[in-house]
Amino acid sequence: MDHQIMTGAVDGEGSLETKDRLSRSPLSFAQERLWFLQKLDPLDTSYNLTRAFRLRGALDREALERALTALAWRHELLRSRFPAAVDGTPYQEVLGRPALRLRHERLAGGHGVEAVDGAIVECIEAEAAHVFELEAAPPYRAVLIEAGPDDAVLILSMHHMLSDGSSNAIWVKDLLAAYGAALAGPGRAAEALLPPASTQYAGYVRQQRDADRPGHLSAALDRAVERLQDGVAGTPSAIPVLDLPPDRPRPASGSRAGGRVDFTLSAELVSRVRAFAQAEGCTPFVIILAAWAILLARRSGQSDFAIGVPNAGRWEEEFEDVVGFFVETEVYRLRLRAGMTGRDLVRALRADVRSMLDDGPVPFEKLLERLPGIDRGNGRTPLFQTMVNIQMDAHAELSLPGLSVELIETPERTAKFELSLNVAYSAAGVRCSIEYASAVFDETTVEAMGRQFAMLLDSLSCDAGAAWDALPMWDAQERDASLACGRGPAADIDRSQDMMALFEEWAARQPHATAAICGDDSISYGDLNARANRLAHALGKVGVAAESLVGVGLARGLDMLAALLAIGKAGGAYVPLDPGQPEARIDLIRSRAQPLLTLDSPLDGLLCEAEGAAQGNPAPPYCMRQLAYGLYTSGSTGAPKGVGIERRAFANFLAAMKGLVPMGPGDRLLAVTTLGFDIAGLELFLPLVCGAAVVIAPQEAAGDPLALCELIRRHNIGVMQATPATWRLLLDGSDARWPGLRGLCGGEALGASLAARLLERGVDLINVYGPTETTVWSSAFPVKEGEASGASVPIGAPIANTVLYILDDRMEPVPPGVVGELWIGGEGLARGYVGDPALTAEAFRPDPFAGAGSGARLYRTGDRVRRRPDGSIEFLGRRDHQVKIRGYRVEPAEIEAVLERHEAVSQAVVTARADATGEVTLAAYVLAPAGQSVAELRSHAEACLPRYMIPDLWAVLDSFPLNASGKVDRAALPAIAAEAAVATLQDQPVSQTETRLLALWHDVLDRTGFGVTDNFFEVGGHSLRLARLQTRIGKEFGVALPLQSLFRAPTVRDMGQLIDGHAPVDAAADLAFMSNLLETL
Amino acid sequence: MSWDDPNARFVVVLNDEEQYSIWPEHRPLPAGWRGDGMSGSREACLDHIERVWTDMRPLSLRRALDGISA
Repeated sequence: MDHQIMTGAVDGEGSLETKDRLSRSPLSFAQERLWFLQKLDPLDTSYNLTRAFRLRGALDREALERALTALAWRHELLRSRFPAAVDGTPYQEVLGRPALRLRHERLAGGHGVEAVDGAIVECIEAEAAHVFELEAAPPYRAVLIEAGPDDAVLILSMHHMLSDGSSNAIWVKDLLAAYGAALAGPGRAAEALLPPASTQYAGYVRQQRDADRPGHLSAALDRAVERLQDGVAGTPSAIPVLDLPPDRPRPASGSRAGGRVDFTLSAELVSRVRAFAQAEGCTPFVIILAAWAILLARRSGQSDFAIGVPNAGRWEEEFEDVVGFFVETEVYRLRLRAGMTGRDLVRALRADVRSMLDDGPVPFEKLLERLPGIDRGNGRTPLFQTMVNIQMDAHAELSLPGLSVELIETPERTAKFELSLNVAYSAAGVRCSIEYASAVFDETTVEAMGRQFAMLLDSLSCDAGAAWDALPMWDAQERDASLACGRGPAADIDRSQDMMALFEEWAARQPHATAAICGDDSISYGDLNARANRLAHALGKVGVAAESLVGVGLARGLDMLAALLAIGKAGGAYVPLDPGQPEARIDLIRSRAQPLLTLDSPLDGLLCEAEGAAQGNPAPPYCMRQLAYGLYTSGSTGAPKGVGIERRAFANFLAAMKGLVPMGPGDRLLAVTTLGFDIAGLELFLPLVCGAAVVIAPQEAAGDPLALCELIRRHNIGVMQATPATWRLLLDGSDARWPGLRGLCGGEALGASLAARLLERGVDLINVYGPTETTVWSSAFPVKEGEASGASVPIGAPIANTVLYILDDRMEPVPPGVVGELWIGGEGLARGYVGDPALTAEAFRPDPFAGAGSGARLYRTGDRVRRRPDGSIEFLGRRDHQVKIRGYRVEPAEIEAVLERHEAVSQAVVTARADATGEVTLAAYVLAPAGQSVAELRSHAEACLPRYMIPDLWAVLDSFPLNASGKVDRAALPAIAAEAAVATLQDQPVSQTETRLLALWHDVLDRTGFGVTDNFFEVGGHSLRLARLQTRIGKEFGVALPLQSLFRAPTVRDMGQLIDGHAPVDAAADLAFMSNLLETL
Repeated sequence: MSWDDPNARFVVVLNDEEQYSIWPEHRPLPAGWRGDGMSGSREACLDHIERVWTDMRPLSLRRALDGISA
């Protein structure tokens, strides 16, 4: 029995006889939780309640001090401290007399109204940042600051354990009475200024603890659990953590730094909300809660989460004059089902409100113990991450005789929750504020949320029959502006920009200039054109014309380049048949594409045949809408699908890239990418339409960093394009610097650390993005130093004649910052999938945002993105790659970015695999020197990531399997054995420390049947039990481990290591320190 | 209703280039698109397109190439 030692000690509270002895009482459940939070993070000040008043007029300082002391005489809680009992359980200890001293301070700094006001705010903030030592002294402080003659500021601060919002009106009233009495009786002792209270907070605690006896609370608790346990599917499931897309990666341990955004609701809106609430037979609170829930669901894309709602508590009349922490937290689980209307949601919440009223209060702390699957070790608040707080009256106003008193508003510096909505009703109107964690969100993002919330409140009240996910959350102007933001610059595209026309123009203008180099061979523009022409005439003779497909299976080299040009000149379209890939795949592609012929052996035969053919440019009639190439890319179904790109789309692409990467005669581009990857089209042809030269890296050099370095040096390369994997290879393989090298990086998400390394080496870096279906690249982002702050570098803005829309799954645009799917339109769009009408129709949809009569289409990328505040687009992952681990949404890319920050890791790939039971495990593959310790990598990850994002399986590799396109082939990564046998062994204690510690766990948890690698919080532990364990460890091993370090070492094994690595502390010195603290107060 | 909902109903549409696609039933057709009379589930509409869209070349190209060969 935890509370045995204290029962009976609280008798007679409130009577004057108790004042000279210490009395003890247990804490309320809510107080226990705050006490624990303070132990966990001793420097946290987010639970400080600080209020400041400007007092103008003749102030009697001595009377004020007596009046403030009188408050602590009347309300025991204000003269209580909160030490821990021998078993670690905290309790309330009422001191014989108040410890309050009104400290006087003089305002430092300059004169003038602004300087004084600024200095006052600084004082208030300093006071609000005071750390209370809950065990040592009552967390109740007062400071009086002289701001000028007859001008002072009173700052009162208390820890939340002593007070709450509805207590304000009580102590304000008592302070007025006490100050009046003190003025009237200059000699009266503080304890006689106010009548003794008829009841104390301890009485409330006793009621709560009595109710905790079996039978009392359990029925209400059962019903609350029943209300909360089911997920959106209607079956029991843990409440998922609300994952709003953050502006910055969430810190590993929740930061308390916070800010606040204020806004008001118009009188018209308020009356619409009232009318709707009335029609639905509920309070406006329900409408507000529904609108807030819709906002969160829309911004996160999540339909199942919880919201906390504080209520004032104080159900019993006897506590209405008592200062204390009575506020209770109700938990609402939101299940926003598909097809639900706004009205359906309001009615579901109304039913929840009614059953909560019927069932009576259930302590939040009890709920936490009962609901399964709550992970506390992730830096996120348990159960819910956002609150809605409704205040039906304005701030309790303080008045004091002979003084004008004004409450000083202070900026918010802390946030208890990631996001809380406060709505204050008063005669003056409805004021809202959103408090937010400033480590996670930017002020502008929260301001946008405020606007969207007000808009949703309005649209919900006016059109409750609409589906919740279709209610307007931004106005038409914002929506139009956002669509406009997705449209790239317009440019004219005509026949003169056709790839062949431009190349032939350069061949005529500079026949002797070098066009291409491969190995020791090089060829001039004139010769390359002549060779291609001869071949084109020969191809024409065998029937190659518009819309003919010609397979190309030649080795990388000048012949390959001439063949590609010849196919285009003859009017045909090339289909790469990469000789590097397995024969079976080439056969599969050939059987699907059915090319007219395939060029896969040296061209001598054909060229001999063509020897007599004219060298002049063949000029078959052609149309810009005929095919330029057909490219087979891996389909999600396994079979390759052929993307058909028209000449107009390719011309548009080259024109746009010429603007982005200007080149001219004398410039050289190094081509490293296999022809089977569409980005090779840029490498081979962009130089040839600019009068520059392409240096084709031979097959054997393309994967060899030293050979690539040598090519860059020898040919004085000015432009290179590669995938992140190839860039990384180059960086790892050499220390060279390439100042002025223009580098294009694309094909995979570009990690921030890789970008930083490239910039460091002098590369002028552009991140490019685009699927094959929209012709190589659709967006570009020139990377500047310091801009690569998130997990990956933004993909930037659309190139010319391209549109990038971020849409929800109704094809409606989503507001900036909201996660959506990327749809691409414009001139770059492919014709479709060759010979696959159904697949084409499904992937290419009508563009509802294009102008009249356009008939334009949009390609659905399947990529999840969002718009950043600076307008650029951020890639978040694949729509179909998302991983859920214990209800948490996990982006493997984020884990990869963290691992890559470790100095030994040059690349990381994280995959998710489900085992036979459906349990998803994360596997990390890292490219690092042999012998790299996995334990070290794991602790690096643990230092940066929440526990659920730590991979379970690890493999250190010296190379990654790459696919033909140079991307990491995730499917080819080796499986990592789970080593189940070892895990069983690990469950047994292996040291004296572990054996003794395991016994302590058994005691504290009151159960057995777990091993030394089981998680404390998963075998029945909770915060208070951890505090008890801390005390037990202290006695058993003579070490004082901070609660926070135990929290981070939640297994017997981890704790054992902490203990063994820890020197015993000097208990006497500790005691002396604590008594010293007491003396100073 | 989400367009990915398995119960969502679509119409088969085509543009002036006679390129086919699908569009949710009861939503106004985007500019430049017309229905071909078919409506139903996603699968039914895509099956229909698989049958009727036999020449995937855009209409303007078909006309231009016909002009060349004529």
